[in-house]
Amino acid sequence: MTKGETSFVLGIVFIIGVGIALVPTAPPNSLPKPPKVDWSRVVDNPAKKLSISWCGSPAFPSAQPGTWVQRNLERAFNVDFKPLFIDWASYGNRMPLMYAGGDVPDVNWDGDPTQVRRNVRQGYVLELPYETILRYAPTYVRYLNRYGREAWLFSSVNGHNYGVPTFAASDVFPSAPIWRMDWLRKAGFTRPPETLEEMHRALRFFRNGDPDGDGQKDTYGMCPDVYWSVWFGEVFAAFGILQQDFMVKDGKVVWGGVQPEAKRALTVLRQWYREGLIDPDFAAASEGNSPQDSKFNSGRTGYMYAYGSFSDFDKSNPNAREATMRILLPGAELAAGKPLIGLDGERRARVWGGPGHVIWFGKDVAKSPEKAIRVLKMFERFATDREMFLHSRVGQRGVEWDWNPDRGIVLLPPFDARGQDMRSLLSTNIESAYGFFSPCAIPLSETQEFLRQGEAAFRHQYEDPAWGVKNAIGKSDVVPSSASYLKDLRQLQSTTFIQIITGDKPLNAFDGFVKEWYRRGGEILTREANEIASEAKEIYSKVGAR
Amino acid sequence: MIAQYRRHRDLCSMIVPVLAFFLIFCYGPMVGLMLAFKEYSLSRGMFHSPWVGFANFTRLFGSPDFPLAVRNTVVISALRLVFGFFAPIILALLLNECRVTWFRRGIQTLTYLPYFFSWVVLGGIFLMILGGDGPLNSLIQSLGHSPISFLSNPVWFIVVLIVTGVWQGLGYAAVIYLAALAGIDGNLYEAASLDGASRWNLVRSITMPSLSPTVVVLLILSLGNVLNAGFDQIYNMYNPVVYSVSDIVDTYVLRRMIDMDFGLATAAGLFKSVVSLLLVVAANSIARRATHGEQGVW
Amino acid sequence: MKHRRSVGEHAFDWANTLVLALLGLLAVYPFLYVLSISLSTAAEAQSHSLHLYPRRVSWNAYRIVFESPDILRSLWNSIVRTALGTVITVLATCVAAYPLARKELPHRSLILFLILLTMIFSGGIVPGYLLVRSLGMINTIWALVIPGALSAFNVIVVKNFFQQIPESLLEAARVEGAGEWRILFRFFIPLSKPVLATIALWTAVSHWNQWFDAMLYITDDRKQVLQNMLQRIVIENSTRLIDMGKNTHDVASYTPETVKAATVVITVLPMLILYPFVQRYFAKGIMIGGVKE
Repeated sequence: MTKGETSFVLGIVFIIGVGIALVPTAPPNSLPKPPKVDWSRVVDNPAKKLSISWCGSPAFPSAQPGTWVQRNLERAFNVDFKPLFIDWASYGNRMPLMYAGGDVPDVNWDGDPTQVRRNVRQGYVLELPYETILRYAPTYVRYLNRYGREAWLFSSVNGHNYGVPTFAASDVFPSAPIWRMDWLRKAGFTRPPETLEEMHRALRFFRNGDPDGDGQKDTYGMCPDVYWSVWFGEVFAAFGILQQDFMVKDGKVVWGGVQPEAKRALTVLRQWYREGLIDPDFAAASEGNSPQDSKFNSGRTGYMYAYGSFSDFDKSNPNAREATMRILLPGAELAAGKPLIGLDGERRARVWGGPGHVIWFGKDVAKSPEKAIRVLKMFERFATDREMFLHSRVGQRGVEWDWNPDRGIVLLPPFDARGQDMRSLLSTNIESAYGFFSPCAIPLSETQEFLRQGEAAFRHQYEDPAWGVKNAIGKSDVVPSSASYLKDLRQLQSTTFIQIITGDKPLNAFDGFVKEWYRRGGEILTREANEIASEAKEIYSKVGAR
Repeated sequence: MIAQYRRHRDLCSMIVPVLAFFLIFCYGPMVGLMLAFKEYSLSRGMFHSPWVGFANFTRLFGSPDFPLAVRNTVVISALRLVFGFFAPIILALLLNECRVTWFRRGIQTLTYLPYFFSWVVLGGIFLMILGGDGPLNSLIQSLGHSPISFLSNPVWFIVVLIVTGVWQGLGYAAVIYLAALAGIDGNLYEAASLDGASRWNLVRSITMPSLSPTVVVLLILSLGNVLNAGFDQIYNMYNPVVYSVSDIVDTYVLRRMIDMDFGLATAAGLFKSVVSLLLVVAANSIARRATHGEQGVW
Repeated sequence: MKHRRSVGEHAFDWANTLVLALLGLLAVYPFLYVLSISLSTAAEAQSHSLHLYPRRVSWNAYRIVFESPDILRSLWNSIVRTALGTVITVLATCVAAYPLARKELPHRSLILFLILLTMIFSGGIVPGYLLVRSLGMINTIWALVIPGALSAFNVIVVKNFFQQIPESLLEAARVEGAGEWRILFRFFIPLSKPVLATIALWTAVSHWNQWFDAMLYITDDRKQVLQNMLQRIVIENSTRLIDMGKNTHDVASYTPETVKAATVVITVLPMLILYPFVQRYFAKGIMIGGVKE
């Protein structure tokens, strides 16, 4: 470069530097307030056609606008939907960019309270008072209060409410562990283990008794699922704790993983690992690469936890887990088990427990707030009109689906083709919280209407909601500081626990971990969790939840 | 001055759209670097968000994870350099010594095959191969050893990162050296072997010295890349248990972006760019000094 | 002249051949492995072995992948993206490199410096997104091929090659009265086939393998590219969706591993087909580009 050019470049750099140094600075956290609406004055005229952009749950990535489900709702509620379909994989990365570009749809879906708070903080989420929701969707609120009142905490930020919480009726049921009954029989069991001690005996046989009879010591007792909510959940629950959740103990909210009971559970797991009962691969698992299923399906382990349900044992379905296993591993026989009876004699299992997600309205809705009212009316209708609800989930009976006493709700051709359900916005799982336009679901057991033969009995025997223990505040990331600490602490905990189980660290590393957990933000989280828990009472009373 | 432009009207007409491209697509987004000095609020937009001076940088270095990410990045890069830099040189020398042409060609073709595949694909393959049920652990177990947790043991994971990284780039990088070797005057070898030099002598006194300029240039280029520890590879292979050793600057930036902490994300990215620039400039001047001004990237 | 080999040299030759053969095997083994898994039956895929070849061939996994309705469309999108992106990049790179290769260009070193700087500084994801959005490119193929059309690295490589073309040729062309554009297209480009083939190959490979930008800029499934679509198939098949409760898994007659392997094979196949055609240019191109200004 010539001298002139060099000084040109340096000059620009200098000017930028000086500019940054001299520009007046504002204190941090001086973020704008979200727009306000006086909801008491808003009148929704049903005759007026509304155009609503809708970014619903990411469970239907390959859908296209104009499905029957959408058109039907548009007709019934006199709206024009502009749906936006996002998939799970890109949801986390893409939504922040969309919002950053100023594109905030009228209706938005957030799975986690952290995201809700993040969006509220950025100032494009509309406040929605409890009175408004109660006024236009009272029946919906009643269901929500019954099944997932904790979800109210998800939509509450700094004492204000920012959207409609949803609930998942299916999440109140604990799921059944699945055992290889043929293996258990060889070990002398007549029913699946029900205590820690029995489980230990079964796993020992799975490892050492050559249950698959191939003469090789190539089987393990178990390989847990990687996801924190279920990871060794049966063992921790037997000691009375949820290891990665806030729970109530002696009237206070505490973190399960730092309780002395966790150490006792680890002592057991460490022993099991040393005896070779736990497949060493459990340590390498990551989300999206969880070995539990494949280990179990390939006959390498004889036990799996937390995803069992009636569908697995459905005799009429050739693709049910039990039927598939028979083909893959001749002679295999599966049995559902109950959650273990804990040391105190109580049967317990972790459940999500019903609180779902948050549907919130974007800033542009402030310009025509009747959109929010229309949506609330729609939710209310789902809660009161069973047919309308079904239409929003699986379409019309006899066209998209029909009822089969053995298999439940089945899709009819051509909707039963692979992926076609997703593209048509249909989901046979009407109990879940993942409808695109209808975020709530009335549980089957409430009417018995759509329970398959034997399903009610199965639920009664293996999935009694009374056994369920849920997070004291719905989801741990409800606490405001969770964004700063929770992820790291979860990681610290899972890493430490794995190292303790595999023997890479001594058992008393647990004590050091507890101190570090509190020091690295756990103390703040615990304090905030207790604050939320007391705040919750106030919120529940405002919305009429017991 | 203007006459100069007029004389080279055609050249200017070519370079103007090119400059426009770089201005729009590279320098345009760089305006966004100001977010590093702002408390970004979406509803206010980039330009109206308040300035906060160096607050983002204070926050960046005050948090535990960013310094850790920098450390991990440097460690991984350094290991890549130590183990990865000379591997292709050795491969090139071995290939160069191979006398059967079809065999040499064939091997060369095979070894640069992995270069063509993304880490999305390779990551998927290696997760399968290195898992406890994968073929590698089957092999280890059939030899009577206990399986190795390649992906969950932090030390092994780093080994995996380095080895698979070298594996992917090996053949590709060797081609560059082979090209330099092909440029050596054959008469040199002939003359030397007439003088009775052994094959090892030939390699040492003719082959290696002719490679050294290439080696120097490539070394400089990789020094400038020290803060690029291989985002694609790590993003597609890591898991929570090994975050503590594999969280690098780039993964940190992405995570902060997802949190919508754009100020922090931008500050981290800017820090990386500035350090990289300094490293390149320093490496280049070292190279020039060492070779008395003959070598250098520019 | 015949060189007489000593025993030691013989031994070295053998050892060398062996080592090279081993390296060659290591380079292809992962691909053999996925190919074999993808063609295996569920039971066999789960057996412990090196999986060098499938003992009983099953096309189930491929059927699953191709039953996914959007896969062919996304394959087409990927092909279009790769072809269009490559053509644009090669042409633009030539036009950018030519004036920079000419010493007469005013402010040449300043321009070079500014271009080089983009190798190190970038605005980051968010400003990039805002730019693409404001240009109205979201959900169009242009978002995938335009922003990265010119890269400093490619420009420098081609510029270096252009500079090696003898000055005399330039003079001769000029005597014939050719303008700069004509000189570029009639003389420089035809003479630069190896380097342009290399750039084309690099670009094609990176377009084919790129997924991050499509994830950010493409929200419409009909416009999505193969890598992202396959990623989704893998995710949908191998994991239950987090939080979705217990009713999502559908244990079917294939294993997630075989499906994953089949998707991997489908993604890499086009590259493998392309590879033999371009590789003779490839080696030449790297040596020209990689070494030195």
